[in-house]
Amino acid sequence: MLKRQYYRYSMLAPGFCIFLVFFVWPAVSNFFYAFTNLDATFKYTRLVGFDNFISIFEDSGSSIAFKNTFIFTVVTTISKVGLGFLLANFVNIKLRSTNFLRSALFFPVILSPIAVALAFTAIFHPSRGFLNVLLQSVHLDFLMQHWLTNRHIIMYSISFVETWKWTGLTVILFLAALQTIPKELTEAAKIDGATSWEQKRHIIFPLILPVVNTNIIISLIGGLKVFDIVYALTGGGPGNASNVINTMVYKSFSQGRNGEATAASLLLFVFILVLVSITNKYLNKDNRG
Amino acid sequence: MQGWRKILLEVVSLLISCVIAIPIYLVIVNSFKTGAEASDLGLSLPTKWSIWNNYTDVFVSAKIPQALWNTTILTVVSVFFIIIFCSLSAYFIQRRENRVSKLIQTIIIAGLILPSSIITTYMLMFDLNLVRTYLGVILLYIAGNYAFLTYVYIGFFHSIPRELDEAAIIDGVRPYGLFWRIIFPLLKPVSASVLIIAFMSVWNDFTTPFYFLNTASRFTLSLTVYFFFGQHSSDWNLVFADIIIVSLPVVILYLFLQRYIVEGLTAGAVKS
Repeated sequence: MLKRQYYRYSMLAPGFCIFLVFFVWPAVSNFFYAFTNLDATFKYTRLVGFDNFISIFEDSGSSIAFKNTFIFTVVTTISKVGLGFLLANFVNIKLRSTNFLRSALFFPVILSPIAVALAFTAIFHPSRGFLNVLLQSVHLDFLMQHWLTNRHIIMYSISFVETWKWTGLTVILFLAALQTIPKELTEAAKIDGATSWEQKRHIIFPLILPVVNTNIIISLIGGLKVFDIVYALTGGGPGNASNVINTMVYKSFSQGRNGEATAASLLLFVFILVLVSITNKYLNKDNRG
Repeated sequence: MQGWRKILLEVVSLLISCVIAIPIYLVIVNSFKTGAEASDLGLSLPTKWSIWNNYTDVFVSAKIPQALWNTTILTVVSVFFIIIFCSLSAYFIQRRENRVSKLIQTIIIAGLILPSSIITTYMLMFDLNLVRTYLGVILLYIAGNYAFLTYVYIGFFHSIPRELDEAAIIDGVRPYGLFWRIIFPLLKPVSASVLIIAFMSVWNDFTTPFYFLNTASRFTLSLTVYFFFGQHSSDWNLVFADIIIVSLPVVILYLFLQRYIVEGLTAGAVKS
């Protein structure tokens, strides 16, 4: 009775309605429009079945985009979660420089992705960029590359920038979890004669598994829907060499092929759903049978 | 720990810091150089300092004042409404505890993983005549940040005892009075987290204005820096100065609210 009077629907409504109209509704209606011939003026005349999907898969540029998105997602998820875990353990050690390192690691997270991407176009500059200059100065000339134009390594260069920018986030999430583990646990294990690796494997890892799960999911989603960093670093080029799903969506949109663009958006949605469910199934304790 | 091992770890720590620091240092130091010197993209200190010239030049040629104003308006208004709407919604969801609130919580959790569908969003905005309007973009920011930040607030509400509500109700407080005068002030730490997270996500956002404010007079800072680079890709000193100008407000806010950002992100993400 009191609940009804004090916790009113009018409190929920303003935010939730905006969320429903401007976030949920576009996602839901996307399911429908992906099967229409939606044109540049957002009109459609008929349902076209799977035609949009077929033309996406037949276009060679699109298949590169799917492959690239896959590479980017896998590489950045492994590097962000792997490095994040190592670094979180590292900054959990008491050193003089620990506090500085923690702040430094998190710093790129707050920066604009466009600003970061442009800074790295300078660092990746083929003749004067810091990376190649450094390699040359330590006589590793053979490793010097055209980081942003060589189509074999371009996705890895972009993945590096993404990793540089976002690893700080996984670090602080891991660190927060590590700090909730009571010291008595690892000390007890030490007394029982467990090696440092055994402690990690059997005590620490199971306890931080939920955060591993969270970090993997955040990284997967971030990787699949990447747009700004890729767009600012390469614009999807040269040619289609660094196209990802969202740069492809933008390209279809700017050419007025909105049916295809919505179909590509829908595929992105399905990929995210599938990968997140798989991760949850294997890593989330609550769901284990 | 043995002495030499400790020193070794300190060195490793320093090297890792360098990986983060060098790109940032590179941008800062080259934004102080003359155009000719900055084009070397080196790490050395400038032989001729050109700070004032670079920054005034960028302010004019990249049309910073207009973009700064646009970005500030969008960010301040969006963040203000995000804090109010998300805290109110979370309050309802966590306190009401009926079938509707449970369903809504499920929808919000689904919203955490759902990507935004940019084309159908554009269509909706087009139909509502909201393309290239501040109002439209602000609504998108509220909608886009709603799921995660409401979720962060819900987590925090668990720590505010219900007995507090009940005591206030017995004292005869009105429904909105209970929220604004008694509950909302207690949310200060989580609101600080939400403030900085929302501020960062709106201030740094590129995609939304790229699609929806695609007209020069409404450009945000993220857009100006991108287009400025397109036109002045060889004037590295100016590009770098532009990057610094865009980044500075967030960096300053971060220095003040550093503690809250970490708390907010970990509270929201670790609990899920």
